[in-house]
Amino acid sequence: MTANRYERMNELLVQALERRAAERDDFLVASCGDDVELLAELRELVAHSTAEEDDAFSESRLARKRSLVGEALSRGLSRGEEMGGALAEPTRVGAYRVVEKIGEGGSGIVFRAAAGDGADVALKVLRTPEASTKALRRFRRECQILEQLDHPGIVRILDWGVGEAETAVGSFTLPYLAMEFIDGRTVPRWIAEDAPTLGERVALAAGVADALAHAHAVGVLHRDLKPGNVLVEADGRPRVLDFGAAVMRSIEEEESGTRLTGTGQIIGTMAYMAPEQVAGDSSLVDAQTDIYALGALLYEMISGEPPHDLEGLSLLASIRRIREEDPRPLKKVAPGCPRSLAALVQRALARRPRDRHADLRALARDLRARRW
Amino acid sequence: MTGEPGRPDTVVQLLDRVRRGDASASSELLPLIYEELRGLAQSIFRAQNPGHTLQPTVLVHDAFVRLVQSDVQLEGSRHFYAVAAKAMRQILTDHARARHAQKRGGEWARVTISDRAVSGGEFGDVDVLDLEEAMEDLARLNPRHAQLVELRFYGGLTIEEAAEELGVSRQTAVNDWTMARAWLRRELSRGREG
Repeated sequence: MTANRYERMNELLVQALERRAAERDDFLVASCGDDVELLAELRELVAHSTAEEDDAFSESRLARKRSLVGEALSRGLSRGEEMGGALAEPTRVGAYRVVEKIGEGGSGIVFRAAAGDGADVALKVLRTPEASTKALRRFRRECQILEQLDHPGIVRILDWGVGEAETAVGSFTLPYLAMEFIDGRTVPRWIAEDAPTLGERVALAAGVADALAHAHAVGVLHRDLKPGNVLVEADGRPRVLDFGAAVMRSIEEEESGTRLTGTGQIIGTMAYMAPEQVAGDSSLVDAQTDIYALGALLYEMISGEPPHDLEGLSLLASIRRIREEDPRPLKKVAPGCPRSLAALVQRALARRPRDRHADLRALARDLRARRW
Repeated sequence: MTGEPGRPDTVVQLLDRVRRGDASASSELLPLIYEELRGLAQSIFRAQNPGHTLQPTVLVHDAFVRLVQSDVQLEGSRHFYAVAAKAMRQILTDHARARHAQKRGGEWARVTISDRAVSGGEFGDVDVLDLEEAMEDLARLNPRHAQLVELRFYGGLTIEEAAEELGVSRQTAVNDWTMARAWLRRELSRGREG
């Protein structure tokens, strides 16, 4: 059956049921014309609609179901209250013992956890146990893609799968992803605590460009690069995190539509998003989009502020500003920035993707071309 | 993306967000109710066997009444029931698949024939796996109809609540339900014959 035919059957069924019982069959015969199959199907549907079937779809059974589900909800909630009001977090996931929570994002929670041999790992688990077969398939596919990334500037995937998560309110089956535990600081913390020189900041950005260039070479885009997604290790080298939003370009071409999961998430990372990315058409997102994000990262590392001031703007107004206006000139926000560096950053932030650097290797080369 | 990083919202804060119509807060509460829903699913399966009758006592806990249904109750609890509906569908289907696999694996002696169909009052005599198959077909023909059935059949939402959850008028939901229910009844009766 096709959706169109289903639609047609729906219309005729509703119209038939609006008529008196004695007139229904004449109406159906007149409406179906030569389509005897349609007529037969509609007669069946009318019979199923009018018979007083006391089956699982009857209103009285649905009402009882509602009260059963309500009971389950109330028991669960009161148990949550008894536990002191905090939501239960897993103490163990699969073979990993959870030590502490270290972060939270749109797609999941990240814990520091101990592997069987006692080694620290960063364990990302999906937030809720409602993952559908489709979501799990996507999770597997993304993990397989991420496993291909092998670069000193990218956090490595150690293990992934679906494991039993034990919590105070019971155990759930959750997808998890174990990554190297990096003892580093995010870029904003590094800047606040160490006050690195301009040269050190640019060198870090060049390292991020190298890591992203490697990812692009194997067909993975980051799509969500921002200061919080780059960790700085004790020796000053960057490690790029959270390729979670990354998908192979080939898969990207197959599927359309934006993959951002909620308004809140869009707003959260909006300040680092390229004009073509906020358009909501993921087919426009390509390697140039990561170049823009790196430009935005560098802009903020130099000036302390993101390229666009979106403070207090609605989602729509933010999108308009990113698409229609150039970022505030970097020299204005950070007067001490060398003119040539400001020009380089502005170029990476060009509104038209083709006006940016040709690729990340070119950008990395430009960043290393002189001592800032 | 709410609250401070490293500090999860408490149940009370989440319920407050649910009440204000924040649908994502409902799914964050899911771990709390998941075990209960699983228990409910098990009792539905067990209800088949003589001696294990399901007790449909309505014992709505006052905590739930107080926290969720106190002021703008419908708005908040509706989201919550919708989340529960999705979870119930998943749990029941997984459970039925597991039993099915167990039976095919030769451990038939431990599973009675009556386990196959999930009957027991509230679910009538619908075979969960047949229903899941029909639901997947329905989702291809009309995704909104499949969502409506999910909300009503697995979560017990009323027509009015389901209409609001789906963002359609009551009349549209009534028409959708008429068609979806008739279509599923027909599909399921065919399944049993075949």
